[in-house]
Amino acid sequence: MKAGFATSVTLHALLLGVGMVSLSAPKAFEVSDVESFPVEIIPFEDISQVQTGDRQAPMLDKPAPLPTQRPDIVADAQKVGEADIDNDGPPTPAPKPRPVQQAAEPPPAPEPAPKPAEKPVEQAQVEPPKPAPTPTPPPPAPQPAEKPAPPPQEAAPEAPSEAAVTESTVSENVQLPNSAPVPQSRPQPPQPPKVAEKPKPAEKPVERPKQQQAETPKKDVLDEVAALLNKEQPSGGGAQRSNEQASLGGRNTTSGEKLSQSELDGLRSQIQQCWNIPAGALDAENLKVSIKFRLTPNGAVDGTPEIVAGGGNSTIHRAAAESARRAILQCGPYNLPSEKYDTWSDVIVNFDPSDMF
Amino acid sequence: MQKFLKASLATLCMALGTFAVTLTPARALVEIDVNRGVVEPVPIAITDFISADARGAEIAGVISADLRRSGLFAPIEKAAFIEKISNPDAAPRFEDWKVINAQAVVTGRVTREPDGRLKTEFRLWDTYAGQQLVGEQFFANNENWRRIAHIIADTIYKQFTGEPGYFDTRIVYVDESGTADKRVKRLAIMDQDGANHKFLSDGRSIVMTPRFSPERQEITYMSYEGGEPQVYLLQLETGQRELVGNFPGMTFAPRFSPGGDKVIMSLLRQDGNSNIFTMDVRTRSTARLTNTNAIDTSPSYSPDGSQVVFTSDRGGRAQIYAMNADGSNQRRISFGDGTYSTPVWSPRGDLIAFTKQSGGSFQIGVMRIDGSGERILSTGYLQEGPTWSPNGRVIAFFRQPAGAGGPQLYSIDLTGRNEQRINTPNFGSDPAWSPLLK
Repeated sequence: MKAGFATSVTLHALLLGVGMVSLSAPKAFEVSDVESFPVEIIPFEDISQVQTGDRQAPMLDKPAPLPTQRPDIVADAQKVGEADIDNDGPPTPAPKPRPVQQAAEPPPAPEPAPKPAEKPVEQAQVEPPKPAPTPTPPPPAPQPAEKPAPPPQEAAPEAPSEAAVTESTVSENVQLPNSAPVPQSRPQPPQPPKVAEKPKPAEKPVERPKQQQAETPKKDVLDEVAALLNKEQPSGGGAQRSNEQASLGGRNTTSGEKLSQSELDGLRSQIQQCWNIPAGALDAENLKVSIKFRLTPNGAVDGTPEIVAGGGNSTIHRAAAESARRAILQCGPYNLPSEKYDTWSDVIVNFDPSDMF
Repeated sequence: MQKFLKASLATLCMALGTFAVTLTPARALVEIDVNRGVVEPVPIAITDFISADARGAEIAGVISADLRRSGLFAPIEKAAFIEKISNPDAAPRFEDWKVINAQAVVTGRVTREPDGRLKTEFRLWDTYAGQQLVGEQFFANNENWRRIAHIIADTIYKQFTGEPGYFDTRIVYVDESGTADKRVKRLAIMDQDGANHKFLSDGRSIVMTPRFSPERQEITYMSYEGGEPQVYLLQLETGQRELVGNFPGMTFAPRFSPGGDKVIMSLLRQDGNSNIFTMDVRTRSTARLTNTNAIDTSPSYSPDGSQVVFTSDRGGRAQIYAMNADGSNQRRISFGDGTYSTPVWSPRGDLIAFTKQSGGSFQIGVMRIDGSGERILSTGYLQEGPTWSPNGRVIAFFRQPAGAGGPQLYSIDLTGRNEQRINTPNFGSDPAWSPLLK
């Protein structure tokens, strides 16, 4: 026992001793200094994206906006006026009709003149029925002949007084009589001298002349305005024309950036939270729907999303499409970088539930 | 000549192809694929229908309950409503409803006609699109107001799922009362939501496996009335009852054909084998579909009537087989472990529901009509008797817990979600869903 123990200790000590001498230390781990390079990660699209062009055109090698067209050269107008067609004929025909029209308008004035004679009578006849008991039919006849103006005044006071009475009864106030000068309103009808001749037809005749008068001046003004605005399109000249075929791109030259993958993922996950998959529906895994919609610059859905594919004829397809449409409306507004609005103003979302089953 | 034609055709195709490429339709710059979504009930606001009495609120309540039970809708609590609807004909203030996240609003009015009938109008509004989706009106006797509510719920369901609803339906089942050793089994019928419960038999004899006719208000079922089990036919409206066929031996597991003019069932022979027969309900003529020395039973027609699915143990264990309606082309479609029973073809035609027994438990599941895509919807100690809702999206069955107690009726969605207990006054088993009422 003792011998074995001693042997073991001796041999171990020997082994350790030999090891300490013969086994050398490992080599030091040398690390050579390497200069670090600054690396900037930029989206590939920053370089490759076409800057300007037509968003509906195919991708071309050369960025180009819509080809421009030289506007047609239009001969200078010979006459500036109201006529829609530039007539080469003598200028006389145009001016002529005007005096005629203007002349035609005055006639209405003379016409009313004869009428007043009749009208006053009629009106007088019409009036009497109201005050029928008191006034006699004869007096009205002489009145219109001598004093066309007074009769209305007479008639006027009567009417206002009646009105005043009714009003006063309604308003309960006796003060109203003080304001009896209500005739204030009367002075208005007598304004036009012509009208003065026609006392009672006040309502109808007054309106008519007003309209006529209003129309004629309006026409004149409109003609003038039209003449002022009637600038001929500039023709010819201008910037150098572009004959390049339009290439895929945005309207603006400055914001030609594509949405990054993470921004697309954000949009996707936002819509996924709202989309109720048609679980349990017949043939549910094939209910694929594509919805196209327009966004406003602040990310809200603009108008009604359009079902571009998968609407199908069956009620199940329609319901699935409506469900997808609701998801898009419900999830807005969408969080997208406003500086890239030009790229995401139109979005197509393809809903495909097949992975869910 | 043909070569020339072919060549010119090819050139034409190529030309058209290049033309199509150059004329690629306008594409928005952002196009994304959405492959994931959520399965969440649609929040919907069902306002009380305007009415002189409480009927309007009652109708809204039934619609709410129907939609909630379907698991596809989440009716919003009325307390959350911001706008109080006073004119159901005018568009609601959609902004107010969007705030409470309602995707749709239901408004309506109930008035009484001079002849005493109820006139019910309802409108369904889409809050996000800001437009009316449906507007309908119904006339019905006062006592049928629940049916009106169910029909409105069906309309809403169809608008959102594209498939017909199943709320205006009834369920016939076997009511079980009394102790386990002295069980009284009565035929009972109720609306799918448990209302209007009614007994159809007095319970003197045991009844089993009631089935609805797909066309008429008829039920076929098995009863021990004559001593041994026989298949009977019951007219629901008249209460008239008749024996189906006059076979020697037991007949069981009856089921109607899609047109309702035939009953398909099993006939047990003295030697213990059973085969499948059909019988014309009107002419009483019978036809034999299978002829084996095994037990063929539980036949069920496909909705188009061209196929029959049934169980057979001809392969050793009970598995599901299918055959043409005339008995030809018999083939096995289920190949899973365990034993299968009571296959039922979906009214939609795409799936077969079944009961599967394996690993000491019973499972209700569905598979495609070729036997692929087997999915277990529910597992329990003892559950059986699947029956489809008429739109093929919900399965009702009965489940008996281990130990004491009795069977209860349940319904589960095709997706395996939304298991609901169907309330019955006593224990219940063997449910059968009616087609949509007419």
